[in-house]
Amino acid sequence: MSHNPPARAPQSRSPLRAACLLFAWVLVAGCGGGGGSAPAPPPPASVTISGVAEFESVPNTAGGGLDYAARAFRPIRGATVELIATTGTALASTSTNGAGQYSFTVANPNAEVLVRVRAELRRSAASGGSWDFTVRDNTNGEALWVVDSARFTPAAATHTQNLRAASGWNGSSYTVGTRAAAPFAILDAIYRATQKVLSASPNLSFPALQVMWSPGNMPAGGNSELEWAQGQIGTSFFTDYGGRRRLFLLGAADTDTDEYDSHVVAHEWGHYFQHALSRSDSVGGDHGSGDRLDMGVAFSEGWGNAWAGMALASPLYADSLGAGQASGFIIDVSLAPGSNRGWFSESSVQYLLWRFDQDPGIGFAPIFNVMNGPLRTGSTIASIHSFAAALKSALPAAVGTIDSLLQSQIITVADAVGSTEVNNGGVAQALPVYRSYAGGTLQTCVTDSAGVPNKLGNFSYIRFTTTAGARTLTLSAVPGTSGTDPDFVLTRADGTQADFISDTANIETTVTTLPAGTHTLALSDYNMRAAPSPIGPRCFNFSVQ
Amino acid sequence: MTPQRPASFVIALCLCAGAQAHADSLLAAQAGARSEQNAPRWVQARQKPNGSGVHVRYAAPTQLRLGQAGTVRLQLSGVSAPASVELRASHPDVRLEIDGASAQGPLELRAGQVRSLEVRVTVSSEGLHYLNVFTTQQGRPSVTAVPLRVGSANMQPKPGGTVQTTPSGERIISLPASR
Repeated sequence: MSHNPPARAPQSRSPLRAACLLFAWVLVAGCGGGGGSAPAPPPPASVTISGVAEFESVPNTAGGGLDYAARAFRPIRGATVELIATTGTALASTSTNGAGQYSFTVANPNAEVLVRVRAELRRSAASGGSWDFTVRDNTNGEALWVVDSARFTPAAATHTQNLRAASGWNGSSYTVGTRAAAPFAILDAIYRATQKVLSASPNLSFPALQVMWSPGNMPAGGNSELEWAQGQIGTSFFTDYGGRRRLFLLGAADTDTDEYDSHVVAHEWGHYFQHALSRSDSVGGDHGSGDRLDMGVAFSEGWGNAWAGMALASPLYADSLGAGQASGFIIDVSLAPGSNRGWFSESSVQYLLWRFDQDPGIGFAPIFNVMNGPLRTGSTIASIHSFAAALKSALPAAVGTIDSLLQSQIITVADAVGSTEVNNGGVAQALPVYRSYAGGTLQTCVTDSAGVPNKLGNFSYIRFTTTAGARTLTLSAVPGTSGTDPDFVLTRADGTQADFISDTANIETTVTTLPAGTHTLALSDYNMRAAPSPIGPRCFNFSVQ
Repeated sequence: MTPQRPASFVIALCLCAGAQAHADSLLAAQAGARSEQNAPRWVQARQKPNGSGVHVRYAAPTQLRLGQAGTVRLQLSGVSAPASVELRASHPDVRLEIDGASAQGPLELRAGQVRSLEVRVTVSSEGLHYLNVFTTQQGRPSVTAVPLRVGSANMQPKPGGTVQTTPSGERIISLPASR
């Protein structure tokens, strides 16, 4: 950034002014500075530079589009602020408080500096929680987004330097290279999400998350790191691919932007939470409110929507897109679904979780404790059954409320494995939710009658109990069945998981070491899940030796 | 940074004759596409959570020639309720048409059916442009962007700020504060 020197007063051209200036020069030169004018005060040894950092927030309309007429500046909360020398070196660092205020007291640099606000929430401490969230540009080497003040030279012991990150909206479009507010709008949604979690667990340590946003992030491609680096991210999503937790967000103006759609940001952050601090058994894939989903998918997506509401204290999930970001939609997660109700419905799950959070007898802390406790460490699939069972166990006084809400969505929860569930969603193979293996051979079937690749009936869940030691687990197509490719995911009694996904036809077998206890095996047929059209039920024999 | 665009303009498409097909015929279309030499590969677009739920598949040339028409094939499925599709170009230099005709407004998608569209695309400026496919079902819109690369256009978006490396080696992208 170029330096802009303070504006000088225009030179006077009057003879009187020139004479005065000459007189003053003679006085100073002749008396060595000790004459009629006092010496300039020495510069302060230290200076305090403080101010307020704000970003321009753009709310959603009642229809979900962005309402630029209602945009307003809001504090950048919890972000790292640095005092930067002309060399680029950071002279001091601090964080904004909840009002966006910051303050440094440093040795007087006696030179130009600037104040830099980083799109970063970072805290490392023995208590009070720790986290490391950054917003970066995936299309420019994952550079960290920052906003810089103009350069200035502190002249007094105190200096006020406020910063505003503007949206760049010029009334009809974004001006190129001016969307400074976007990374901080994203950061604010994450700040709120983090604060919500800290309200239940004040000393929690959050694993690092990198949020990738760019004005070039388009809803195109999205199937490789190369495409992600080119801005073709497919859609907004969370991934822990390659051992890195990253959240990609759309930013393409007039197509789809998500930086101001805070519920979209929080939804994806909710997936980060599940992966980092709870457990997700979602296999991913396309899904919708009308789908009968595999229970892991239904729970994960329902959690994402409900969590966004909890974190942002609003049940209205808004998503904008299109020309001028003027189109969009709203989902009210507080409304009870009237159709497609059940443990396989993301709509039912999101409604229930929202209601649990809002109920005075339940609230968020028990929800967090279940997500971060039994769901994370148990050997059952993370589903509404396992969640509600743990919640009921933690809150005996709220069992009536919980059961009543569950029943309103045609869900029955007596235990974590849904042993009393009677709603099969029209898919006969979906019940029982788990099949129990007690030795010998157990036959079980999967089906594509509700669709593929992540729908109800695509997976069959088997529970079996062992002592500690090595076991041979075998899945094989029942005699007379061909063209299958069985796979399974094993969740051991200690909560650890392993995938067994060879492409051997009609059989999957492995020798694995198991701890003592009850384990869960999720069986599927790859060839069924990948088939472009329905192929009907397929059955397999399972054995443990 | 994305090229500065004027307000998006809509060039709607007319439906190619007999383009509506049942789901079963989708496989035949896929097989046919695969059998062509050097035919563009079919891409299943990713769906946004809570979006329209309409599945969008497309086959587009990896590169278009300046001023020469190319064909983008679209297949739309996953429709179980009132739905529609509307096509828009990301840039005024992109012309869309079907069989020489053009029409304004969204096209209806029927429940349980796969709708196929064949879009002729002509681009009059080099660069990376997009054919935006807006789908709506039960009032929920979504958009899929089909890349249209013309000439030797760089696939990398221009930076949305000033990219620099700090003395500590950190890469940052900065924008000026407005005050």
